[in-house]
Amino acid sequence: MIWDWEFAISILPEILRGLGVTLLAVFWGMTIALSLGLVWATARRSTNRLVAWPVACFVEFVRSTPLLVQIFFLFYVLPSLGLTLSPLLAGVVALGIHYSCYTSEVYRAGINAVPRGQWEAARALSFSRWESYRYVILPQAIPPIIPALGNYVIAMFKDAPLLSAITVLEILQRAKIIGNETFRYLEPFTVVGVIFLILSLLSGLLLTRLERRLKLVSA
Amino acid sequence: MNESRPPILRIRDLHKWYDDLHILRGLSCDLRAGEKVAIIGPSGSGKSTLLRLLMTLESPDSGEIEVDGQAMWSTTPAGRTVAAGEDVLRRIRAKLGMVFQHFHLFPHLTVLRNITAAPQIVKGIARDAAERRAGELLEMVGLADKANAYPAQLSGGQKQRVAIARALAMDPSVMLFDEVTSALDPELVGEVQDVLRQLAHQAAMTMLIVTHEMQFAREIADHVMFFDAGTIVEQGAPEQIFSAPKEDRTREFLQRVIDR
Ligand SMILES: Nc1ncnc2c1ncn2[C@@H]1O[C@H](COP(=O)(O)OP(=O)(O)O)[C@@H](O)[C@H]1O
Ligand SMILES: [Mg+2]
Repeated sequence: MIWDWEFAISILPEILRGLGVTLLAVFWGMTIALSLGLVWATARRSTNRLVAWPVACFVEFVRSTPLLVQIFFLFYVLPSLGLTLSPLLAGVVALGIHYSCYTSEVYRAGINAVPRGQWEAARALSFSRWESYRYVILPQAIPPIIPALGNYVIAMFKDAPLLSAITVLEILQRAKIIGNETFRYLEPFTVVGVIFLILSLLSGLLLTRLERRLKLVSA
Repeated sequence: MNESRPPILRIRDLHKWYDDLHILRGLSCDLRAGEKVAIIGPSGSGKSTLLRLLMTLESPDSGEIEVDGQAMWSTTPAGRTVAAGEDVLRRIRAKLGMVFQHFHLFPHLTVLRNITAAPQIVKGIARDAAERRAGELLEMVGLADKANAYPAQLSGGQKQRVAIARALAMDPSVMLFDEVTSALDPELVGEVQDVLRQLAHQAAMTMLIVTHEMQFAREIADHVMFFDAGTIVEQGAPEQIFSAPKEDRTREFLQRVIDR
């Protein structure tokens, strides 16, 4: 099998359309992951064990089961419980929940790194727990963990092709369809691989620069 | 002093354990509004713990605390020690201000925002009113030119003066000072003590000052409590405590710190 440039270029628009869907899924997935992760992190620090304990169990459970199983669960099992999600929505929710259990650990590390005295000063000034988080703790906890959160964006991007397993027309699924129709697999999958390589390298570079900027600011 | 008013702070038989360490062993005392009280005593005797209990940073195992006639911790008829509801606690906390040994300024906020944050967020005071008040307080502590600096750009003495202004911005009636000069280089102690002296001129302000500076305690306080092993061993006017201590333990302690 010989590489065919003309064919490779002709399938590019279709594959880029798939990339659009992938990026969309990552954007919404990460939005969910960043917000839910913060909810889990604060819930696990709650003094109420009836809140902290179930959340801790849930996070550990999600972290120790494969993402693909969770995707299948949301897409194939939920309908039998009366909740049917479109493939893309099921995929986004699965990505979001799965990654929220990782971002929650990052948030936790960030929050734990804020000295106790900050909580005490806030309390002595009559801040409620919520106000302490909002105005004192999180503004200190989050900047140092932005690089770690960024790494999960890249990781999610690389996991997004799993959504092809539930027929989401993301980048890999489109490449597969092109291959099935033309019986040429070399170009579609190579193009997909190269796109992932380029985007991962680029975002890695971006993160390094961001990290350096943050270090400068905090120094 | 008006003796008929209830004390601003009323503490009864307060006990605090850390695991099997009995830190406060049945502490009782009253503070009248406007009183300036110095607490002295060896380290580990429970001085910080008392202040932290008052600020509700810790909970007592038993005993009663009343602030301005409102119960913060009380004993039920069945003998259980219970906290007041969260809204009452919040009201009580607003009457207390605390300054810590290690400042605990908010590093991500400017000096001005450190001072205006709580009045704006907690009390809902408008921004310009809060900033005007912060300006006055910065003037008072001698740091009007540092409003836009960040804590990291300040010396220890300056940080501590900002911390005092920050606590005062909430208009507390009782100020708790926990060894506020102990973390400072010796040449910076004076500027913080000056601010405390100035504050002591305000008749209405009740001050509870934990300190290792005996000369300063003698000068600023109108009442001195000597703590040892979680109880008040001896208390009285500064002259009496420092010149004619009645208890052996007080005498030994004073000898030790003054010889140092
Ligand atoms: N959170 C805590 N857990 C265990 N022990 C503590 C804790 N806080 C204070 N202690 C212990 O309680 C004792 C009294 O502490 P503290 O009130 O800080 O004394 P002081 O301020 O008079 O030096 C000390 O021996 C200290 O080690
Ligand atoms: Mg102490």
